[in-house]
Amino acid sequence: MTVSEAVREHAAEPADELEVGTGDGGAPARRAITRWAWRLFRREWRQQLLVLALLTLAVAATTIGVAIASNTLSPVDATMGTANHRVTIPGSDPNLSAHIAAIQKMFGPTEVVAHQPIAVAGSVATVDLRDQDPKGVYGHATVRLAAGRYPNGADEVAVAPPVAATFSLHIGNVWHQGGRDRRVVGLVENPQNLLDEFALVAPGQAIPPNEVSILLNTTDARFRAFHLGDVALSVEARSYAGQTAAATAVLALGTIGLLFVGLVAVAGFTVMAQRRLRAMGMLGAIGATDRHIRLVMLANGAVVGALAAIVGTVVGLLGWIAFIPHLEGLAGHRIDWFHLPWWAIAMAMLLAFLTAVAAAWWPARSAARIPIVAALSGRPPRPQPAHRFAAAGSALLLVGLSLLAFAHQKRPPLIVTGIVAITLGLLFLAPLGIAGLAVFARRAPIAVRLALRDLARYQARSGAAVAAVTLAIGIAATVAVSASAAEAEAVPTAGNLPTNQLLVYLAGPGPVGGGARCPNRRRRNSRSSRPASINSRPCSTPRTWPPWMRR
Amino acid sequence: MTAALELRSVSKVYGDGPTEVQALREVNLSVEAGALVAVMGPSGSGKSTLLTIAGSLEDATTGEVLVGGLTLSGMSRNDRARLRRRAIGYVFQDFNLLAGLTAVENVALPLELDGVAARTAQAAGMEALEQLGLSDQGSRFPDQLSGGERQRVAIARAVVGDRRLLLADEPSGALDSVNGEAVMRLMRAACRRGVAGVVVTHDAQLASWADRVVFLRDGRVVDQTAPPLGPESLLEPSPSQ
Amino acid sequence: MTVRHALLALLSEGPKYGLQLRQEFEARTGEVWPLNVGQVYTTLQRLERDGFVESEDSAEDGPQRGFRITRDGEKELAEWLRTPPDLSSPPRDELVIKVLVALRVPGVDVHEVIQVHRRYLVELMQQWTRLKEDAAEHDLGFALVVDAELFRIDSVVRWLDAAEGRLKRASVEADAPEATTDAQSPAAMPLPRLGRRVGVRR
Repeated sequence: MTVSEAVREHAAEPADELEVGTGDGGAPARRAITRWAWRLFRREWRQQLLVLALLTLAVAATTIGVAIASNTLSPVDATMGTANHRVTIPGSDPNLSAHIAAIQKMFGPTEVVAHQPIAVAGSVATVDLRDQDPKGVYGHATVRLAAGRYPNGADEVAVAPPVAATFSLHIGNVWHQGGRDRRVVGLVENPQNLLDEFALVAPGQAIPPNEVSILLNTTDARFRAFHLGDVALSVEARSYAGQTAAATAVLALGTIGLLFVGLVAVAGFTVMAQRRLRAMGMLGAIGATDRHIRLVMLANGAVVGALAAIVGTVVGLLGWIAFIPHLEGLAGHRIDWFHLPWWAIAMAMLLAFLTAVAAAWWPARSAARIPIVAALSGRPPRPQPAHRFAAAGSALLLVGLSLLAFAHQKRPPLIVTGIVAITLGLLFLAPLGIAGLAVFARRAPIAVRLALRDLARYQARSGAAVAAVTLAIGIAATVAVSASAAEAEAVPTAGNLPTNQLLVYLAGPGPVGGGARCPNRRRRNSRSSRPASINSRPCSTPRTWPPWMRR
Repeated sequence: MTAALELRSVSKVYGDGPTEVQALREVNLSVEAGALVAVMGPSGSGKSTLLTIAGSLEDATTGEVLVGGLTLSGMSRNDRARLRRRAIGYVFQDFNLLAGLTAVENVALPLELDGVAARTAQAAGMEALEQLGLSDQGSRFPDQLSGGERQRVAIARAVVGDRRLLLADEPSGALDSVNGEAVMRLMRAACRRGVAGVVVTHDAQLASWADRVVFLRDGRVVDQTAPPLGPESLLEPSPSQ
Repeated sequence: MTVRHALLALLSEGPKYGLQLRQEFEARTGEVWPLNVGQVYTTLQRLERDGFVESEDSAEDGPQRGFRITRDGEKELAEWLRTPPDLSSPPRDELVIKVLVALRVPGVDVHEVIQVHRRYLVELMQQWTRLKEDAAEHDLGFALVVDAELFRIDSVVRWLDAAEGRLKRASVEADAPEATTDAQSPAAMPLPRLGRRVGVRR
């Protein structure tokens, strides 16, 4: 039976009333559109490689950045372990055990570590002989066995690698020290500070202790409410602010990077939308609504964003894991690869996804606006008149420039806002500039003419590209300006000073920030103007001296 | 019975001022369900415009367009899109199928856009393909099909579901005459099942498949063929021989 | 001459009777070209006279008389198959002449004349197409014959299209201010001098 005969067998039925109905196809329609967008992506992902690579790079760089930022800073006190407070009482205190008992009664589980300094011949530094339970409730994080075993009993000791190097000790050797002989049974390290020079003895073996530190977990308020009579105790509390702040800063930088990538993505997606113009027209002709057509582009953006977020994070994590051994050497403490600000990484992924979707939104909107007949014949939309956004662009540009001027190179928030305003302003002004360029095209050589005409014809992507370039320059300018602003403001704590600067340390209450700088004065002037302040207080090493500077 | 497609003194003007082009002038056309009408005319005669206006892809400048008795002019964009996926099927000269979707997915797409679940829609699509002798090609992608097969899939997509109107713009323009004939046979077969067909062409051989041929010149309907005599008339020895 | 060679072709398959020849001819050409018995016999007589066929039994003259092809006949058939038809000289085409004349007759809209002919031709093509559509698909010979007829008419329609396009352009150029010489307006154009070649064929 032939086809036509088969078809003819269906008798023509009387046509019933035509109903248009309501709704826009609901979930099945969205699924069908998304399926098509996904297939198109699988076919054409190579054409989106640039956007994909940039987004992936941004996410990977942000991941590595936040990882490094939150792991580079040494813990405020590497010997505090998982406790958040440490109370130190001199070993000479007559009521030492009573105080310890009082603290234990007040704060519940505590851990007591006794310290005894061991002199190193030819050096002012000492080795800290600690008696500490390696499985202590808080202190376990500060002790890790590198080789051998933990000391057990009175005559055994485990030393940190720097100590072993200083005293030429190996496992099995006997260490004569302070009139005692101890057998070295293991090598231990403080994972939180690899340069921590200490020796570990079994609990209760550092006798008499020079000082005793008590680790405990409590709140600041509760601790302030606690009084222990007339004891010369010192208290340290852990702060977490530094790491979070660093991760936030990196995330902020990553966001600016993503903004740049987003602008590039707008241009990339616009080109893609133009390539798919006829298919979109066809989709419209067979009954897709504007929302469906927008969904094609948005789904593509979402796929690109999700893929870049996942791949970028994986690449970033792998890079991070590969970088850890190197970073441990630099930072001087062991790093747990899993110890990451996951919220920041999740945020970076989300931002990458949103960037891609947002970048796809504009091309999606213009694709849905093109008349179907024009789309079917592959005609690009007529560029909107260039002067339409020119006023807004000029205003933004002006605002941006005045913000920059007002910032006096010193206020990063103003600088950043100014740069963003200028970028947006140029995005709006770009069509006008491109139209202006097209005027020159008439006299230009053929290659230049073609390029300029193409720019003018495909306004959306040219505009986005111009804005991306502006932003890139803007980022560089911001970094330079902020850096110089920071340099102008910063208090140098170390290193060589210029000849016209002098650094004076005051023994203030805070650990840092006590230094006062006398800029633009000659040393001699400074000394003669305030001799008292120099003579009355001895210069001391700032307590935030990085570990590697101490030696 | 109302006509499946009715154009009432439809005019279309593109541009304005000195660039104004009058594409259609006061065109009247009525196509009953089950009839295949060919619109013939030289290029620039406005025949493609007639098709896009009939299919709600463009608005008429003046005049009224009725599809299945419904007036297009009062409809929102979404209503028109709904009308297109429900009642109107298009076949273009080339580039009919969406790359990335298989033949059966292409055919099922209008149904899916209308909210029919994928499984049901694709079963209907497969049925439509089978009727056009393409049951083996269902899972192929457009670039794996020949030109003739692509057009046949396009026809399947244009008639799948309960379509009332089949609009074709040079549907076999990119094909050789044998494949072109196959396409026109299928168009006729679709019309026999109760669809109203309009095919726009400059090719008399394609137009001769229609029940009625309308001649368009400079945007005006200038003539149309009489209802055809029975084919037997040809077998009488004509006086000239 | 078509009938002559068609009969030769039929006989090249084997000896046949006159009546049989007529039936087969009609079957092969899809019954588009009806042939009367008299036509068959006069043609066969001429073929016999030229020595291309010979009758099997010269005794009786009637439907039962058989014919067979001679060697000369086979040669003639082979030559004829390979000889291109005479397309080099234009046929005497009534339509061409009508359109040319319409250009010269005052008060006649050439476009309208062209459209009348076009409509007629398209209607004719519709009838042929209907025939083809209704025919069984495996009837190859018939389809070929109808195709030939359709292509022939189509070529005339195309000529009409081309003529109309040419006329339109000529009138546009005539209307244009820089080209308003009387000599270029279609009505003033001289008839092309096809000379004696018009109408030489057949």
